[in-house]
Amino acid sequence: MKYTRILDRRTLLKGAGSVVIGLPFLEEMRIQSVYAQAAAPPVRGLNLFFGLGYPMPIQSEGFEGKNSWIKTLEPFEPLKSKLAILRGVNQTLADHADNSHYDGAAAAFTGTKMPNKNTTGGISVDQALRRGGYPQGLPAGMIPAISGGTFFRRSDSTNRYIHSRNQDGSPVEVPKDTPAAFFTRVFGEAPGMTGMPAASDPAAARQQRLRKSVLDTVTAQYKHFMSDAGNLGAPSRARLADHLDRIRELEARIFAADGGPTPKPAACPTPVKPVDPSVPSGTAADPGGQGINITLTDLVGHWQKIADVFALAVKCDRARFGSAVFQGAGERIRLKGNYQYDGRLIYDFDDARDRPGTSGATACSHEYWHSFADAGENRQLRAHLHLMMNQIAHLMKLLDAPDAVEENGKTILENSMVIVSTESGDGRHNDSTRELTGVLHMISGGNGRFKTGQIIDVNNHGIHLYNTMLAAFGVGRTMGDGGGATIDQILL
Amino acid sequence: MRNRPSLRSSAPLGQLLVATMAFAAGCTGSVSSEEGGAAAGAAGSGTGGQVSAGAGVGNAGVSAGGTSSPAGGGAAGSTAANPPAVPRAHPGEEFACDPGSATPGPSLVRRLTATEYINSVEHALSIKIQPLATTELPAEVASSGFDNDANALVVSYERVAAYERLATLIAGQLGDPAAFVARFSDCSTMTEACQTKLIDSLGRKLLRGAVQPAERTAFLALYQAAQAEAASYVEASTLVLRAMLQSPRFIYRIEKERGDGSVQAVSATELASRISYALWQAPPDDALVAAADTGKLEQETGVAAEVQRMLQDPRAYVTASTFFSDWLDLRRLDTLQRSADAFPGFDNALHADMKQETTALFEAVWKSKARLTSLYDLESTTVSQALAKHYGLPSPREGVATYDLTAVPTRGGLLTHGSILAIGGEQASSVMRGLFFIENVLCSEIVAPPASADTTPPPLGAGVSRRTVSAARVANPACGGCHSQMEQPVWGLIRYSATGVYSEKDEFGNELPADGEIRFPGQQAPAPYADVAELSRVLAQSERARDCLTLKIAQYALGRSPAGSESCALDAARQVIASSPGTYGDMIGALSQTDLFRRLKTQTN
Repeated sequence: MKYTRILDRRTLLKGAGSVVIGLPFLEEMRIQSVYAQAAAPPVRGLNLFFGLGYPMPIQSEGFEGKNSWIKTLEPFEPLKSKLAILRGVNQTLADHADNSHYDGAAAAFTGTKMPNKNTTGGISVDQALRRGGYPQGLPAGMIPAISGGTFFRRSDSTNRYIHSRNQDGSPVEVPKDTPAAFFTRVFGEAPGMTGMPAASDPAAARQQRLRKSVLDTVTAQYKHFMSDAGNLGAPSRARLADHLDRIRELEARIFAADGGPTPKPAACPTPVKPVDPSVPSGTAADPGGQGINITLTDLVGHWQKIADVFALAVKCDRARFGSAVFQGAGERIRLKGNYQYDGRLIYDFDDARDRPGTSGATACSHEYWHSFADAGENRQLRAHLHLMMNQIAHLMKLLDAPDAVEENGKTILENSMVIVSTESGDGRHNDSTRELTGVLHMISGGNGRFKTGQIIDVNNHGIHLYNTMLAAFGVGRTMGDGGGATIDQILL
Repeated sequence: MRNRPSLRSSAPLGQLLVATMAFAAGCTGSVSSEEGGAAAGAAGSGTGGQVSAGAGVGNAGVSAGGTSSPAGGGAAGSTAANPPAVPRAHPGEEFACDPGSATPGPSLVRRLTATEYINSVEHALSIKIQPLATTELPAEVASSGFDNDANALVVSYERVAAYERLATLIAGQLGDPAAFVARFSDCSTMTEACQTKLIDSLGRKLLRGAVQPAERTAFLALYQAAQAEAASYVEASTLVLRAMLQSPRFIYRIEKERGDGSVQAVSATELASRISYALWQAPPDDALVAAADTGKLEQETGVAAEVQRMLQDPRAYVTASTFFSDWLDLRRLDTLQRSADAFPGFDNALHADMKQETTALFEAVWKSKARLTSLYDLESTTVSQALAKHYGLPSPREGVATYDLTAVPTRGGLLTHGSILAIGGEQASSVMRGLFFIENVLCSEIVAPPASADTTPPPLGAGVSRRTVSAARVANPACGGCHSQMEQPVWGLIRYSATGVYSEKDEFGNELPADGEIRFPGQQAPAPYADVAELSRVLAQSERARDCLTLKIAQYALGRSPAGSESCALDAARQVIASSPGTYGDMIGALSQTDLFRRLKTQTN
């Protein structure tokens, strides 16, 4: 069953006007941007995930907060007219008898039950929108899903931190965990992928043509096995189709029509490859599940560089879909640093100090979620939540900046389907239903499709929320079984 | 809400798949933040829980299906491109072996792991591509346990780009290209006959089977394109090689999946590939190909003979030791760091020595052709001098040495290794160690507590031992139903710290009793033990521990968790293994004779 779309064709094809600015020769410049020619903004879907959850009682406090010193939604104050905060989004259909670090994380943006800890139960909403919005595929060379983040808990489940998923629940893209690697993924500079040979070098040009012939042959092989003659079942064909998408992306990068600058969005400044901060990545990021020591400066510095690349990728129209992660599900860090917001101290983080008598995993901030007390102050948890919201808001602000204003006068944030979600509505593991109930979501306006400036109690399942949003974009194919309620409260 | 029926007293291996812990006691677990499955808990009231089940979820997290029901909301995603979840873990008699409902698990093309890719290239082309390939290929996505699960072996842009680069680099490493081409084709003219000869010959080797007409047509077209660029036959042939190295038939293990929905035998060529990658992480060698081509693999004796032959090859040990390492997730030791505050003077470099010790244990069991469960009570260990000192072994010797432990009752067997004792965090949590034990030694599972559970820890005073804390959970009527299953089996380890240091008293001077009991699934009476030595002996003789290892090997060999519908095949293997010495070879040999290897369910879509 294919996705169908009811989208204005102008979204892809029509429009005029573009701004050309001088840039260094990066791959980004060789992508023929249809965005630059569009009168209407392109369809975009971006998932922003934060780990550990947002307890329902704290959600209920809204922007006002329970006390004066930590209002956890405060960082969204400048954006609240452009967002809807959705309470009562339940992921209980995704209950897998694990805890929310696994099944709640897998349900974020998919609404479905994971079959295992590395696979979600279905496609993520950003990718469903991509398939529905671009049934013939994205413009050549565009990345199907940008994915990057600041996350450290990863060794036992990819569902913790991968939030752009294919139909079969496999990752579309493995998130990049360093700003430099993320930049390279988005803008190129990978070995063997830089530039076409100069016309004056016929031998190199010949090699490039032969290289293309090889890839054409490989493509033909994939097409064969994706056809009926290939004798493969649907899941296998889907896996090969995913592979073929990557080959096409590779081809587009290698064999762009010309090597010179092409029109690109005005919002795309000169990309500059970031320098990685000294934050653990790869396997070093998760030392046996024991958590890492990290300073506030390093944590925020790392994330904001990731966020910069993420926003730049969207502004430069290298990607229209994808996901970003600020702390994975069940994140384990021992944070230290003086956290200030708007010129005032929110909290002096020192998890080691605040968790006396503990060490290793149990000394991590993670534990504040497990020990959440309805009637308690939950001081450290609130402080961490404030920090998390601040960082998610930081990325949103980049998409809402003056250089993100599009031709319709709205910002990328306003024009796109941006969804924020997390793993649980209560971090205590002793009640899986409670954990998966009331999982905080935030959504942007989707270019006038969704209400903003409100807190809405939707009291419905996540899968229905996602399907409602897809339907608002005219995507005929829905996630899951396609059934369920339409959540009218969110629609304009 | 998650109460599940218990199993009969002698649970067959197939039922390891289909049941889980049945809790009867209302359990208000106090498990803090423990992960890896769910925290303990249960609803109802009664006489205490039973360990019953087993599921492939624990280690690799790669089970094929849902738990107690088809994947509810997840099943909603069952579409042409999203296979329906396979019922896996519903407990009870109804899932005992029923030949009428036995069906092979789901089929999915499986991408070669980096190791398999390297082995496949080196075997087919007789060249070495290390360390080049290791440098070029992105690391697999890290997840605990086995890294060869088909579901997790997705492809990234970087990997596709690496395949393309590697293909070019490999073609450039052939030495004399003409000599290379001559190995596969005895002619060298740019004729279709010559081209076809090379395509079929090289393809047979590299693509692990006969080249299909559609594939041949595409490769012939590449010759034409090369000819248009004035390429020679040899140069064009290297382009074909580059294309083959990126083709789906090479990158993926592909079988004929389409059909009328019936269960069918896999082809001899496909079976050879299944056996070869399970035993060697490599493609079939010439002898196995010959066995497939001559019909020998259609006979059980033929398969048995090939498996026995292949087990003698060093690649079998490499693969088996990889299984062993993955089963215990020894990679976690590569990055594990203990805090200096909690463990002053502890050298984190010892974690590498601990990993080496455990690897050496498996090597000793392998070389002696001992039953696999003897790894639990082997009375010797091979450790570095530093680790020997850390353990307090008598007379530490220079370098890595093997120590006889017959006179050292506190050491000996897997459970006394620092690599295993590191599980449980810096507090050496009995809950976390117990979860590991339940999932990886017994192949059982702890389900989440009910909504009514109160996880408030029992109040305890300062200076209380961790044994007392654990015992309080076990004794608590609200907690004990679950925690007795989890924690009592690992009380034998309570004298060991997170770094594996043995002490009969804790830092407060409290005695640490090391006796406990194991409730094996399906057995009414618990198996008591007095200390870690007896615990190790009990496990070494345990059918359950043996069956669990068989299940884990099956999971690794198949590259997926066996489905619930494959219980009969697992039971068939179990019966064979029960009457054998129980070596790793016996287990993989028995599994290779079953429908797990020999059959697949065709798909109509």
